Amino acid sequence: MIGKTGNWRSAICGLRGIAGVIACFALVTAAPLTMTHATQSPITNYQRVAFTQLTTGQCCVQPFFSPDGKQVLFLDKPAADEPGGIWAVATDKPLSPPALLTERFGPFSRDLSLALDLVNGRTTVERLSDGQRWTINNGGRSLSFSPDAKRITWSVQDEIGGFDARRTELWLANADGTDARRVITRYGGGALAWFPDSQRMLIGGKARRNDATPTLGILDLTSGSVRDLFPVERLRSATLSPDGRWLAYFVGQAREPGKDGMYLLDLTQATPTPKRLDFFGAYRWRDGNRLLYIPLKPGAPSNELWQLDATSGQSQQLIAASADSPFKIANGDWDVSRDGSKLVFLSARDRNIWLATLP
Amino acid sequence: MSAPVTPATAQSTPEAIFGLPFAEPPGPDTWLMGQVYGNSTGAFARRREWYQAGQGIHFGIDFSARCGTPVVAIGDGVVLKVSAPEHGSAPHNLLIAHGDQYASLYGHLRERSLLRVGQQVKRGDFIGVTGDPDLTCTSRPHLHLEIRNRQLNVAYNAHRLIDADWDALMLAGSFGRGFQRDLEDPRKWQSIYDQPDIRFGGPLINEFQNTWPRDWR
Repeated sequence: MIGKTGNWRSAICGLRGIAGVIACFALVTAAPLTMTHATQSPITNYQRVAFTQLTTGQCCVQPFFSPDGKQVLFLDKPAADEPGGIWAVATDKPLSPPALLTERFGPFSRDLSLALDLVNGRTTVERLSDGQRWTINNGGRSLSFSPDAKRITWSVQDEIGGFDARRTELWLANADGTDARRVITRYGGGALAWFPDSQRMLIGGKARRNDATPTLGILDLTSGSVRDLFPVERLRSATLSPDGRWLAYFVGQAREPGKDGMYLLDLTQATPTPKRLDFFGAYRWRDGNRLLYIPLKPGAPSNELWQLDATSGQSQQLIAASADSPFKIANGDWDVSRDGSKLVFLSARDRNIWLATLP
Repeated sequence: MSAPVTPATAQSTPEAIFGLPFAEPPGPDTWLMGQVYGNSTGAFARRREWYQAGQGIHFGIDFSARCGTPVVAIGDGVVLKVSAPEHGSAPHNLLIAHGDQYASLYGHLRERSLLRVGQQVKRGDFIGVTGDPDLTCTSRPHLHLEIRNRQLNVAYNAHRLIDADWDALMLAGSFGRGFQRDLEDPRKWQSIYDQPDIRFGGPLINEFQNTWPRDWR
């Protein structure tokens, strides 16, 4: 791994211009670690994170990885005479001119095979491989593609009333719009996430408007049955691990203050019990067992990056705060590649897109 | 050697003369960023209803906080108005004048503030408690904070005027789904710091011909 980092250093430090200087500098000043969490493990064989500046000119926001992780994508229209769409920069060609990937803006299916659009008020899906388009009879609403891109869901929600009591119908159809049907109704909630099998969804909300507390559950889309997990109030940012085993979420400003905080849930347990975590911040799954998180520390010179092993409960710091680090995320914009090896972010330092290669 | 970068946080902006409206640090049990100031995707979706008066953008900052959370003054000033429904943000609001240039508005307070018009306040003084515009304390309890001109007809980008680590605050808990794009110029207004000031009653500034996310129902 040290050799790999050295290769990155050679590549980045060889770049011309000020951008190369920034990238090189950040790379060689990765800071040593200080551990602060109770559940931490001793750090052995710590390897540095390599930072690489990918773009210049403060051009773009909301970067995300291509499915294979080899490109970083973003919406842009670089000049008046150039097309708008999704542009790409290769992770192994930092600071190279971005290339147009597609003139569609998305959202896209997970594999980038299908693109969603609104055409003359009608929801339209396009298969990018051959340009074939079809409309979805859902009243011009947005929709969500299943991970395998074979199904779609959308929500029909009341437009008035308190957000904790609004009625939401969840609709399901094949990706071509056929076999559309309502599968469930919830109040003050709805679909939260797809499971990777494309057969189930995590849902929240109340089954009946007058229920006291929303309930977290797993909806089987084929049968329409729901496996209730437990009641939880003010659940936010529910995120499933890529294999669907773990759920990370937080509770904020609950009526019972003792309930506030971040939680982890093992969905393979017969009776899943939330485990409260001793940190709070932003988080993304790195793989089926490791949760990357950035503790909320306003005023710190830069962001820290930690990694929680969901099975052992132990945390390890990957990036320390440093005034010289480019790892100060702007706009909340960051993404993790599907293989878990890389992280991309919009840096508040220079408002360019940077890549962090993780140990 | 120091990295040749341009700081982008309000901490280094000379205009950032005000403080946050809470004495407690942020967290899941105190307060978190809700909706940022500006042409957020959420504001765009409601540009012709909730935010029409503010030229279609969110003309304040929303902080998520349970009902009853203490709110403090963001700067020294004099109480200008108490529970003035003509300025919105029901059920109760409070306006404080800061010199002859600025005024702050604290919206969706649960109760009428006990302060009196003309009363002096210092930065950090308790001025009221948070509430919920839907009056339930379970729907969307939050504080809506605006910084206006002294004539109250202009709302400024409050992120530029409040000394806070907005980049850190936007990471955790924010409803952030980015800013609405004008696809003819998708780089416009994509940072919290370049969101435009607005004039109340002016025309919508975000009726883009071609926009993203799309104008879904």
